[in-house]
Amino acid sequence: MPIEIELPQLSTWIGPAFLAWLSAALGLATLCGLIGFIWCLLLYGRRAPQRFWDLLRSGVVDLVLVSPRRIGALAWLTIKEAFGRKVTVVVLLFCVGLLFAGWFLDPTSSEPHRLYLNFVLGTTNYLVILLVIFLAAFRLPGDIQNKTIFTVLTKPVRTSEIVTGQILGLIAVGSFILGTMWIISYPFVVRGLYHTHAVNPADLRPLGEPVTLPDGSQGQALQGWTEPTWGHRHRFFVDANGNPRVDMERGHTHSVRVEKSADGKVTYRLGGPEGQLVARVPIYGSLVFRDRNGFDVEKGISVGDEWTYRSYIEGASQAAAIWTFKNLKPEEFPGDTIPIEMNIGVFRTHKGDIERGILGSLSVRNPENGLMVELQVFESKEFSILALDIPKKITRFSSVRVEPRKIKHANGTIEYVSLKPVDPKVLSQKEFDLFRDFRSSDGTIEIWIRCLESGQYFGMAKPDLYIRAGNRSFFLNLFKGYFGIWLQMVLAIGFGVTLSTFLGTPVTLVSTLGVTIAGMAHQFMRQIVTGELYPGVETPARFGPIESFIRLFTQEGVMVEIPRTLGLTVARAIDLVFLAWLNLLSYIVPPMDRLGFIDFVAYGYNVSPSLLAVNIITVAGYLVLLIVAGHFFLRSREVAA
Amino acid sequence: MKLLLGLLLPTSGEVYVFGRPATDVSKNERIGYLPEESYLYRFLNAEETLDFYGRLFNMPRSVRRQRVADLIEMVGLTWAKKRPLKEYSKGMTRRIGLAQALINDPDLILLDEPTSGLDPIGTREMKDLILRLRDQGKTVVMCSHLLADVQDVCDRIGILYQGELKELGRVDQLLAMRDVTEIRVPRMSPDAEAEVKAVLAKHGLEILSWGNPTTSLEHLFLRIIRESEEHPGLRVHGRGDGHADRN
Repeated sequence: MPIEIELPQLSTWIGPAFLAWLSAALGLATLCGLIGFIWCLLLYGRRAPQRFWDLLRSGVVDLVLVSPRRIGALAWLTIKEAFGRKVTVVVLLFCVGLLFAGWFLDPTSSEPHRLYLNFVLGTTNYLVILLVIFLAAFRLPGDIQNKTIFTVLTKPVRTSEIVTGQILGLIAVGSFILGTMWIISYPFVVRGLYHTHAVNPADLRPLGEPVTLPDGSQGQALQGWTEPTWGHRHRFFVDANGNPRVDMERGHTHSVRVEKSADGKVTYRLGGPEGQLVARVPIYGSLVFRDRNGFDVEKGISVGDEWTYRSYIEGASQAAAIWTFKNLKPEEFPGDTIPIEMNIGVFRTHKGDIERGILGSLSVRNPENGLMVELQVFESKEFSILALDIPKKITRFSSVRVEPRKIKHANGTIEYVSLKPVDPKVLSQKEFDLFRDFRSSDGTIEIWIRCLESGQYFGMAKPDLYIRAGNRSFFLNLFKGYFGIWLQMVLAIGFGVTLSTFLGTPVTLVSTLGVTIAGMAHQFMRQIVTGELYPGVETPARFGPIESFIRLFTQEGVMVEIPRTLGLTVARAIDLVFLAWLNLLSYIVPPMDRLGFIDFVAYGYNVSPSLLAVNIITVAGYLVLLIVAGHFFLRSREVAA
Repeated sequence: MKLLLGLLLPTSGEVYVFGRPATDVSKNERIGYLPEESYLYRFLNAEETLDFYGRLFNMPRSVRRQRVADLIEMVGLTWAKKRPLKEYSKGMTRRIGLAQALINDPDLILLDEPTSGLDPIGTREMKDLILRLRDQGKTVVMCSHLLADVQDVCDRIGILYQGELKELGRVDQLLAMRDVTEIRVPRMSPDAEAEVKAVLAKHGLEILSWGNPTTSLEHLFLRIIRESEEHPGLRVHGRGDGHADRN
């Protein structure tokens, strides 16, 4: 799968995430409380404990006793002001962008739908996030500067209501803008990708011998090509009964309508592209590897790629990648086959036939008794998705056997995974049933992938092979893509409003932009801090700013060893301090890059409810803390000073 | 005033309003406040402004609607209730500012320079409104550097100088000159005038001033405006006797 990160599952994520949130909240509260108490000591001396308690108690009471009507009024005011500032101009800008997009979006590219979807979602993302950051940075500081806040604060309004009202108001404004963009972008994408092809019946050549049809007439299968449009054409078939079919090309096919004139002349009319804008529903399994000696290992081998997302298996050896799929039920797959899709990386130690993919094999195994058959040999497709079907009734197979799994422990002992015995008659069967013979009693099936060519390697990660359970509505998935942007927007608003409770407009603007940019690069930041960016490097300090500057100046790459002088040691020591700050920052800024679903939509994958829930809860967790922090910041501020 | 409202924190001492600390927002339920400038949202119209502040007092919609209509009528802005405040004159803004301060029917009304920047008509209207509120039993606390206005509308005054309270009491008592007597009578004849002077001389009293009292400029201006509205086309000849002739 092109989304090359480990996707969290709600059930396993929620517990540790809640504990992390709780400890962060308690830590933050303790720190703020300590600062507040010291402040009270300086101001009130001996009366400080009483004053601090009074302030804390009333602060908590104000946080709890909020009125929805007041929050609604403050949100309404924010909306009214935002529209008074002509925020709708952003929608117009977006429309103008779409009008001119046709100039630079190339529909003849290999995957135009990704180009279009990345464009509309990316443009929306930047426009909306920038808009809300500006609105948030100007809202409260503007009120304080104009002193309109005086009139509001002399009413029975809690500061928590002001912060919440402003956040909700800005969310409403952003939602309106996003919703409008969603509605506009859908027809833009669909119309932009629309094309069709002509078919000239005279260009179709006979395929095979003529056959006699049930009505006694003669039928002839035909094959040929459609006319090229947008730099591609489709293989075109007509079976002996006269039913046409268009082959998949560049991720889409076309429907065909047959028209017969009075003189018997046949015309084929192709419709718009189909299958291009989809929302696949993948079922993921867990992945383990088998090394070249046949032992189970957690990871495959490294081929020296700095990017460790994929592990590799060696060709023409016992090495394999083993995916385990749980709780598979026959009723979930109404057809005759189970469709699977693969996105396998290939590492060639010799060029071979570069026009041809590397051969691999796909097998299924019952984890309970070890019964295994090889189903098919495939040719790898690099940088694109390979779709295969596993038949429910398996009639074509090879190498039926019982395949044990074994683990080599650190002390050298070998442990075999226990298996139930297999009836020897089964091994000589001519037909297998996938669910009866290869599914364990708890509903688990293993799928094994092997590389068949010596000296070549297949690279795989857990999401690279999945069972395609079906498709969901693309329109809805596009909505989810916009919802991901909405989640990022909500966080940007939360940070903007909270920072504006104690900072002026320019500083709020820069700080919120900083948090948002850092959040968008959160994963990268963590990779730098943990050293995952270039595994094998002895210290993450190598990515620090001082050493990077030295390397830039001396024109040495990051992987090149440079002499360990005293200067380098000092530079690394300073860099470690920078990295410690970066580490701290990476725990404070939200992982905004994980909240978006643009890649899911562009690559045609359905955003699962579990992932949606994880992201919603993440945003809610941050928002609660931001509202509480904003409440106390604004409360402790003398706005009239 | 900002200390009373909790907008500023005291550097020493404590502030209580209605027995509650000034930082307790619930005390604001019974307070109406008109700031020095009417700090209102200029993109809202009069109705929206009052409705917004009504919502901040958690007032139900039906109550709000009635209260908003009453207050707009009271401050005489019914004709401009749909116009955004950015189109309002200074006087209109002050009036809608006062209306927002009264949206919750407060027990205590704090007015900061209520007449500053207003023309004489606006000033008179504002003062009349304040007197009407007093007559309704409201406690009105106002601060102003326009002492004539203070004298006009206040029952009690306090004088603050460099942060210290220098004087506090009823206006009539504080301003009374107890060692000077003033007698006012209508249309005194020359004979009566002579007799009075003789009696005063007999008692050995020195006459400090003798003549006709002057009216205030505000009264003169308002009278001219009133007469001008009653008799359009009137011209002034500058006789300086407070009267104008019809031309």
